[in-house]
Amino acid sequence: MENRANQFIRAADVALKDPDLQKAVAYGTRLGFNKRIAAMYEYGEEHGEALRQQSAQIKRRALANLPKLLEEAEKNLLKNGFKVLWAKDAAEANQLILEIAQKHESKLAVKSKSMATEEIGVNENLEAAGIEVVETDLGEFIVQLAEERPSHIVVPIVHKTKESIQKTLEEKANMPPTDDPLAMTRFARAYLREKFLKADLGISGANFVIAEAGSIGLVMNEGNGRFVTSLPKVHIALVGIEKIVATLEEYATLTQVLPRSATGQTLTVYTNLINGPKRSQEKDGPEEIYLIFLDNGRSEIYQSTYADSLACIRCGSCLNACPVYDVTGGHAYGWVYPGPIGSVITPLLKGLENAKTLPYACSLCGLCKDVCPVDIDLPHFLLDLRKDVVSTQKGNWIWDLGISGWSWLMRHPKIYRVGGRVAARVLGLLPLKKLPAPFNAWTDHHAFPVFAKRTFAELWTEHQGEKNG
Amino acid sequence: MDSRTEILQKLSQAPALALDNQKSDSVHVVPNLSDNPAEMLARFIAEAEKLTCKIHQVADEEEAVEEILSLIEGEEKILGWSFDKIGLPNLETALNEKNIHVDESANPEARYGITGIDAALAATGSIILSSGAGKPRMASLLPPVHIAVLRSKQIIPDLESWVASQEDLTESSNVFIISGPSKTADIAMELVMGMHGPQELHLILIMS
Repeated sequence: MENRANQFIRAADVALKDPDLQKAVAYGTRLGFNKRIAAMYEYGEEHGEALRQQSAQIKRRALANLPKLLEEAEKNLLKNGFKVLWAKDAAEANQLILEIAQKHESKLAVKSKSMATEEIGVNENLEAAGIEVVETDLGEFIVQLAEERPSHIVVPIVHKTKESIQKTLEEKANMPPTDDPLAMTRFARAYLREKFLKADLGISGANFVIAEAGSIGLVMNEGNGRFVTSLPKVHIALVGIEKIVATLEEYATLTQVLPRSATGQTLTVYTNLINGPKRSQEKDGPEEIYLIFLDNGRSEIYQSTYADSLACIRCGSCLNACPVYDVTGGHAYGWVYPGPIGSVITPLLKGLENAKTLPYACSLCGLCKDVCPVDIDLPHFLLDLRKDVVSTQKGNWIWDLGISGWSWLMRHPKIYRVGGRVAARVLGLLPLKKLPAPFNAWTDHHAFPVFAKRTFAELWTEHQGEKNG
Repeated sequence: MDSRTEILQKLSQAPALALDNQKSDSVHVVPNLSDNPAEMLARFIAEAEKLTCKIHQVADEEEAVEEILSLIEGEEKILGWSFDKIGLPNLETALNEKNIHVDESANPEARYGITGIDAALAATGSIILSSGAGKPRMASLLPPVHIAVLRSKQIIPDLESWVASQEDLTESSNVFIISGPSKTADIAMELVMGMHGPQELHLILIMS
């Protein structure tokens, strides 16, 4: 997946001028935000907070014991009949998936929604080898037809209006004209049903890997994830190494907290626990399941001071809460993961120099931490990343020049005071609205401040004089 | 060095995370649930109805069979579990009399699928099913209408209590909790039932 995170400002500009996107995203995020509050705090604020802290602890314990739990998970997965593979990066994961597909002579792969597969670009890789890949989550299916990318972790087409979805389905899938969501859904059901029945490969992610059981947990509402993991004879699950939980008891908590936090549901329609390939005398189910543990930069995050960001369970609630995401939508973030969690992990997974604008895509309001079901301190991480950007000299030279100038002025109070007085007198007379390039980065998006007629230092001296006199 | 070794080595060499390894008392996601059968039954029905499940309360197996027959009247082929797994041995004779054939394969034409359940959750109005011999997964997924047969004594408080009661959860290749009919709100946040799975979920609830 191509990374355009450094074009955030330009992409955000485009999004801000798109009235359809503004309306669609704001509607979706507010709905999600309110539903989360109702579900997480259904039994009172104290209980909701206790659940959040409990979930946070479950993921922290799993992270603290990650290498041990991965080995335990592998042992139990093997015992249950899974084939377990490891991929250190996107290229290796794609290679493994292609080898499996070719070994089984796969021609048609059906996919359920998975951020990890988005991250490595599975579709492009398999299609290049002549294997048809079909996204089966309704939103992902429409994104695939429109040759776009998902813009939200949980609601992939939150940015699209009904009219644009209708246009995509009519033009790309020959849907008979209709603007009724029910009719559009029925059309997609019939279209994808044929694919399910023909597919010989199923590709999914996983929401959880339960170490003590050797099982994977998937949550979904549409049921496509049950088809993908039941009908094709081969199933591949691509799973980030951070998806581990230690016990079934902990899984029982998290698989309920995830939907409450994501969509405000008590449980998703299907909470699917996969314990291995089909057993003898079973009519359906895959003959082989490959589980691929994906690193792709996660072990570096694990070694860094940002390890805690690996606790994320991808509920998307920080996107719904974020005032920046609310107006830019997800595409502006330029890669797979948008919103506050995206602004933290994109620089970590893709390199700071390739996403140095994202840590600034934040007003530091702190809401993303408050809504996080595992209490990740996202605002703090965004500040730390800004510090990293500046300290590794990857910042903007204008910014660096301005800051060093400011720092010099602050160490020379006499000059600062004279400068302040001159600025107050002179700038106040000029009708200054914008600064010329290259100093326009800020004034292009903000009203230029009006200087007060007299400086604070002058007023303060006068005030002290009055008090003492 | 292979990738497995490399990844595990990198993780093991990381500085010890200053993470809380203490395990405090855990709370249930839905707190203070009663284990009184009458209260669990009432809660299960209320929650399942919120999920748009259609509940058919019947007194005994005979009534359950009648209820099912009235739902699937006029059908020739349906999907379903084997009769002993559904837990309604009399259903076989009744269906034979009406010339209704039960298919265990993935027949895409069938409009109804009949299954039993492993357990039902009062907290969320959910039913738990598992795969196995005579229990095809497609019976609860492929047809537009899913009919699940359950008994009131199968209702337990919640997912946490179910997990705690299981000796070996991995015995079946697939365990799945169903909470209402399949749905989506991907198009302009408008709710549509029956995206890929059933659009209707009927619960034949035998009071025993």
